[in-house]
Amino acid sequence: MNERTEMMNGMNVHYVQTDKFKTTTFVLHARAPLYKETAAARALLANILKSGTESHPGRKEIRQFLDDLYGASFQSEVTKKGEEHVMSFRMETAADAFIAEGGSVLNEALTFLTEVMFAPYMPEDNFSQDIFETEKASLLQKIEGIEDDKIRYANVRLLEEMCADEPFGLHPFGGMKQVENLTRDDVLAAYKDMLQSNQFDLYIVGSFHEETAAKHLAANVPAVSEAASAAERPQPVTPASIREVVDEKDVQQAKLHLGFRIPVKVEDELYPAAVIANGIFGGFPHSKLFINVREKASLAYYAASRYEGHKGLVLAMAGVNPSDLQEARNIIEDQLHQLQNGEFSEEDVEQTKLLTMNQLREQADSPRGMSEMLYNGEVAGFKPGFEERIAAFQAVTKEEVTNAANEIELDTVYILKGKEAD
Amino acid sequence: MAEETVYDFLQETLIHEQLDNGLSVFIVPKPKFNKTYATFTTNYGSVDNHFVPLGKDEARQVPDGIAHFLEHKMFEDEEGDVFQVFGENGAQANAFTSFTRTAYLFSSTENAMTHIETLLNFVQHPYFTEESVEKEKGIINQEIRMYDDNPDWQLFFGLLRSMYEQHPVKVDIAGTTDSIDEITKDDLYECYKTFYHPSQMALVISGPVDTEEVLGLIRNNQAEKTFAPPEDVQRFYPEEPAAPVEPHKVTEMSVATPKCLIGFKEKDPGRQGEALLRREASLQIALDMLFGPGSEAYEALYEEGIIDDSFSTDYTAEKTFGFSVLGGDTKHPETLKDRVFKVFETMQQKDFDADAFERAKKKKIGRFLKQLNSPEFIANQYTRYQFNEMDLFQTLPVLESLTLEDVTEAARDHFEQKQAAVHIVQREGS
Repeated sequence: MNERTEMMNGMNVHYVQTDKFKTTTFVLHARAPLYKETAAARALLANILKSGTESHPGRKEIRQFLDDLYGASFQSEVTKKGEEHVMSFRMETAADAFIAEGGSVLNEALTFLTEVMFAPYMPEDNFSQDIFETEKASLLQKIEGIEDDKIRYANVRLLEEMCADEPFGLHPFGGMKQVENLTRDDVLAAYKDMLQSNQFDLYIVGSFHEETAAKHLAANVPAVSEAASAAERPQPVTPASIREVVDEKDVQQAKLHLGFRIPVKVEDELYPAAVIANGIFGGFPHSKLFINVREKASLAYYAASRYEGHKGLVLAMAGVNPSDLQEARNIIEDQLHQLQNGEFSEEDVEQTKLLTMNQLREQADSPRGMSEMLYNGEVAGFKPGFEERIAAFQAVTKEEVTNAANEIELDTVYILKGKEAD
Repeated sequence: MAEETVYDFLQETLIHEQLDNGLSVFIVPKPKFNKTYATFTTNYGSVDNHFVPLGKDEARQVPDGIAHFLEHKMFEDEEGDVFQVFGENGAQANAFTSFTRTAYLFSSTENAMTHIETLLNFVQHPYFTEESVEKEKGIINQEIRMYDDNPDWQLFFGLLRSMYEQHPVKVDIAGTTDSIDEITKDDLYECYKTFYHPSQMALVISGPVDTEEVLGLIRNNQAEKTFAPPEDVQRFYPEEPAAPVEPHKVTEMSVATPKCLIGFKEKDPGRQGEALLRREASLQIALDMLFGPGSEAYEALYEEGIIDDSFSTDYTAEKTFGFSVLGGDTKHPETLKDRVFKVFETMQQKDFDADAFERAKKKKIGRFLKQLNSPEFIANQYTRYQFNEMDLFQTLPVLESLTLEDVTEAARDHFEQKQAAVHIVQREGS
């Protein structure tokens, strides 16, 4: 991947040249440490910013502008990466090569995206009351709706319980109460704070004229602070004892979510081995969880695990009959012990390495995948080149996988099940 | 012999060859990509539950969910699990069953030739035992349970059951706990033999592949296998009334925010080829003009807090059925329904705005270009288009040629009040 980065008025601008795609993609991120006090205001802020700019003062005006720009797509997103809170604005337009009469949308797209962040619609020196109310109601509804997707809900609840005393336990949207209490001035304060203290990163992915973009940005981006305020990273937590949490809801299938700690993060030496360990544990259809919980015991349709490398967690999950909860848990824990005892083959390691490298190469086949991969490195402060990443996985040995597996420790067991089930 | 078509404007090339045994092969080279993505798909899905089995004289009805069950069981052979074989060589495999298709696929950045061969071989080698069929029932039961707990899924299938009285599109693709319990290994073999003949199937490959090498491999692989002569499968679909069975339905379920989905049923499905392509494009453009973000109705409903950004619209059509749906989460499902109907009522009288039409067209072209970034999209959609006698890469010329009159006519024909059904999912007592 061809990335060139330059600092422009305090913002990192990443030019990623590739002629693979029929579109040009623009992603603008603003990140700050994740805090309980600010998460809700920042989440609402992102929704307000996407709804009106100086030149396009409402949602309708924005939509019509985008439609005229050859059906450009535009979304905002608020996520967490480890203990960092990230606001992202994404835009994708047809590449200049596919636009009739040799036109170009590069400048228009950049003007729009920078306006979203730096020149929002502010009648009377504050955000519009209408937009504020609408977006607040919409965000509340979205938070409320999390519980309708049971797998997602169980995952949110597991993190809330497991990381109750850490920022990572927070949902990136903030809580219902916090959002309800927000005033327009709170959001304005969050906006001013963002301009002063956030780290801004802009990615442009596609085949475009770099000098034109640079010139345009230099003229349009106001000076922002370059205070790369990496969140103070909390020390890895070692579970004192295993916590068990059971929620009851009106559901048929029980959700079993196990939260494990692993004190290994993206920038650590053992990271590639930890990725492979999780892959053997539950990352693929050849993994231990899929084979043993699903194929052998027929207990579940999905049984998998995920590694949160920005935080140092492994999360395992399965949907089972309420009466099979204990059996499924036993199998999952037993499979982890086998992994820790080195009870897996060289072939398992090689296969998992191949599939992991495969995933990485596939990620580079989509504009979003490309920019995410680069930004993840930016957030972790660890930016190996693409081939270097591949080589790091290639070099992982069975012994290292066992070592990484032995760093995994069960912290919290979360269960969501039906009310009358035992 | 293979034929090559170059689509200059899209900068895409398509290579097509139909083999002697009837198999259609399509290759869309993507030389700059890392990954090769391939789908091997049969023109057989959940709605094909009544047919004359190959070699038999009489039609039979098979248990609901059998196409999906078969998809699950194809991954196992005498040696074990096919996921392993793909995995050992660095590919991820998967499969899915829809109303009208069953697709097997892999995605990989190396050893594409090996994976293509594995894909052909495992799909063309059924192996079922009583024991493995019984075992799969536990897994599929959990899959069904998972969807039972999913309000959006319940909203959608509840609406289909309101729209369709007889047609099997109203039945869950995975079937029910009871229907899958009836499935035997002999049923699976019978469905397999009937619907997995190469003449029923399409293989689509998109990625950085050498076309000649791939074609050579496929030709050799298929020449080594023997198949019965191709036969047209006789499929039966029940008589279906034109209008929905239940125009208004409320289902109680524990949801945070109520959900409302409005459907319009095609009174006269059966379009194929360019007629279907034009119908689909016209109705999608109409839906976008009337209810897309940026439309008057969307903005008003959003500002009043009646919809949020879960609101979406869609049009689906296959040979024997078709419908459009629109809706999402809403605190005011009845109001949403009334307002949506009002918009369609006005549309029956009032002309569309010409500027809005040009914008909607431009937008659709932009979105299509974006979709062509994805080998997954190309392979999956190409197959669907092919089975409906359409050409995916003709989308642009068709879009260019659509007039406002075409769109108006299609919309006024399709969005008739008497074709509508509403399904609301909400909490008990709300």
